[in-house]
Amino acid sequence: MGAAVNWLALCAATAVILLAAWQYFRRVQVDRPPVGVFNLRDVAFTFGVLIIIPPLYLDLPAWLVGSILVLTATGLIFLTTRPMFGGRIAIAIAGGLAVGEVVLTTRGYGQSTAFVVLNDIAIALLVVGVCNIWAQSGVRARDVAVFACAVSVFDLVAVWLMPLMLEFFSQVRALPFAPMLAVGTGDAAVVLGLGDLLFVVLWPLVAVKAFGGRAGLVAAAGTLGCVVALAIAFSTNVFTVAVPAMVFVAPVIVVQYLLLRRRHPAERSTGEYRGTVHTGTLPPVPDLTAALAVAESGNRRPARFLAVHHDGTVLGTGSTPGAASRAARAAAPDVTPVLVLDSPWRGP
Amino acid sequence: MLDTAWRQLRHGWSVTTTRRIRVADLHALITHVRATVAEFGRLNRDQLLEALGAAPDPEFRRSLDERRWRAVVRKAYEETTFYRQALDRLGLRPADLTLDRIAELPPTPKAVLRALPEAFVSARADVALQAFTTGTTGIPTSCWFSAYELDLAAGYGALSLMINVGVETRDVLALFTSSRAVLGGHTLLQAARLAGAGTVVCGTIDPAEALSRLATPVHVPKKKPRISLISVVPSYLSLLVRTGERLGYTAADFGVERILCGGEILTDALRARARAFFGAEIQETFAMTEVFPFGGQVCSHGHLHYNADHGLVEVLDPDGFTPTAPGEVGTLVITPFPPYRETTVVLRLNTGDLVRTLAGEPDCELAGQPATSRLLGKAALTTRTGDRPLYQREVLELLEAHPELPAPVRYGIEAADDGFDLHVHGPEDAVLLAELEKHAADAGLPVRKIVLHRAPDEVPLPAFNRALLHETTVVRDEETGTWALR
Repeated sequence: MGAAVNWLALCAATAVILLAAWQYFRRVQVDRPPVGVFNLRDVAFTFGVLIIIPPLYLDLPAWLVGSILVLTATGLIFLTTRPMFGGRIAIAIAGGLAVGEVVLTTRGYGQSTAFVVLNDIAIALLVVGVCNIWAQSGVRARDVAVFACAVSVFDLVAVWLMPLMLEFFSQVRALPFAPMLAVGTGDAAVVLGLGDLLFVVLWPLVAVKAFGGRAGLVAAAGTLGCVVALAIAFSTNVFTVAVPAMVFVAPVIVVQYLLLRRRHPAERSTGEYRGTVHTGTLPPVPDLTAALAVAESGNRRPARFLAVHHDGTVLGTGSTPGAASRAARAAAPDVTPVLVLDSPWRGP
Repeated sequence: MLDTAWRQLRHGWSVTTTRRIRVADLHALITHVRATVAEFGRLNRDQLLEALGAAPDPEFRRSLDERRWRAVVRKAYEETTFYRQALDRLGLRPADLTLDRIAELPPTPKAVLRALPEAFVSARADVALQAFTTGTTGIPTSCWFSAYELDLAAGYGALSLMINVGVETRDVLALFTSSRAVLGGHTLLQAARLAGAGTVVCGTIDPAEALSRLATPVHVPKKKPRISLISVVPSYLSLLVRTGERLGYTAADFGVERILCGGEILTDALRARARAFFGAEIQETFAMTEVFPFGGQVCSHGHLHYNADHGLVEVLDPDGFTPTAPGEVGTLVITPFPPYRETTVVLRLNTGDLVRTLAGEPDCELAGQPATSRLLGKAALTTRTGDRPLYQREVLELLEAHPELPAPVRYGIEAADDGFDLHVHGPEDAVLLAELEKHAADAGLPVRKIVLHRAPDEVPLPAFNRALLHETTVVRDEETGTWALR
């Protein structure tokens, strides 16, 4: 299979993962702690971990790195699949993938087609799970844009200016749950890093939540478009060495975020997206102008409290707010009037 | 989210090690709860309450109590005049006084605290507020508190409002408690502010004026159009209900959804009437200045549950101070723990409040927290004839079931060898009297006779309540153009 075909397959696989994550986002509610929202502090912490992991892994023995990857990935795959298939099947899926990956890598088949296919399935499940955990934990579109910018700067430094990420990927690519989506083996293999894939999938989910379905489609087109553009660039030999994909994905995310913010003055919360908030039941504050006008023109003696409808109709009067309120309720039971004291007073 | 976990972890560490709690952590957790509500539309209160109500491992609870008890004994001995003297007199060293040997330290009578509160103030304290009890059940007692304690109590109060009561930023809370009850009022005010709710401080003003304010719409952004939550003592609540009924108000005139009620005995009769009148859910709480911020709340099964993290609660025989058997009546003896309480330090304070221990293990949503019956009354105000005491709750349940009696009910009890004479302020109505006597007999109360007095001043040995701490307001009669103090 040629590299061009592999790139095409990689783009298709990315699209399938994005679609799966989107469907998961619509249908499955992940468990979350009762208190807490994924905010900028969490972004900063996650970014810190992201920076630390590659150099740390380079200094750790392969068996330890492999063990960490297996434990983390198995747990996340279990959490991702459990809501859909139940506990037993989820254990079977996570355990099966872990055993398969460990057996293949320890038997020397870490570069085989079977390993690549198995690892891609595992990575797909991981991306679906992690993106949904983030998106369903209330992360805001602004925070994703900030996160993407920070990662792109790190990617730029780590891939182009330092050999850090290349060394990291060459070390982990034959380990179980290698953090990459790959198609093909040997020289024809094409690869998208796990971090890049996370942003390609995460941004559309957060855009759907924050700005609606159309914004999600635009976001998906933007991030997938970046992957397609990179595939074309590699296929036509515009790029011949590894490039930090986030350098291309992050600007798209930022530009889309700014455009969406211009179109939508406020981001929707998760509650608004899911329709579980009751802000709609809070009646708007009535226009006080009519009540002020009634009070100013009245100047009755003795002074009375007036219960005024928003159209200026006096619904009830009384010597106390309570009496006026009750009189208004008798006249118009469903109206919450504005209470105003009609006393000797003139406005400026 | 990770920040929330970190703050919870640090808070938990402080709690288990009795180190000072960072108020900033508490405030951050409050912010996170509010952010969660803002993001997800609601708080998963069931999940939180289940976690709070879960019974901890008894061994873990015991070791935690032991550690906190030792910490408070050491603090009391090293930093207060009273307990240094008391332990020296008893020949006890703080290290000797473990939880197993707690009975060797006699309960501290409230009278000592009342006599010289400064003898209980820690030598290392940074005092900020001296709070007095209202004095409706005895001479006022005072306690000093630090700014740290007040901030901490407000923080926990905010979390409790949001998690236990379900207060949201769009709620508007009205305080119908005495403006002089600074400790409770200040704490609730600050707690509501931290929870993001709006607050209206009314005090114990003329009930007609209070109801008028409750019925007045609130036209401010992001808040409900009417007062949605009130904090009130039972006696004033009865006054509001009775006045409201008389003036023709109904639940539709108000927007009250929840009523926080505590500080006195709330009877089932009043609870039912208040619920019907306001159409609101009633949440009963327990708190007292002397053991603040230790407190409790009444569950759906009618048990009074105590916050075991904030103090040690014992129920002891009022005479011999031995532990009360299950199902028996005893006096509440409370030791508030550091790091929640550190200025006025008390060990085994005999509160004088009578409760009945539960006959079995509670099976309710707060089963994880220690529980007793609701308060039966004050030991000092409980009269006896032979072996039969007459608790204030019994009398109030009888009287508050009769709306013909003026609110708040005023009564006095005279004990005789063959029963009690119950003197009640109310209309001298033979039918009413017959009904009261019949209901007293039905309830098995050893009441020899009931005497109705037309004037409240004629009631002998009257019991006081907080609704009598009336706060006046100046009211203008627009019809006549006159001003009056009401």
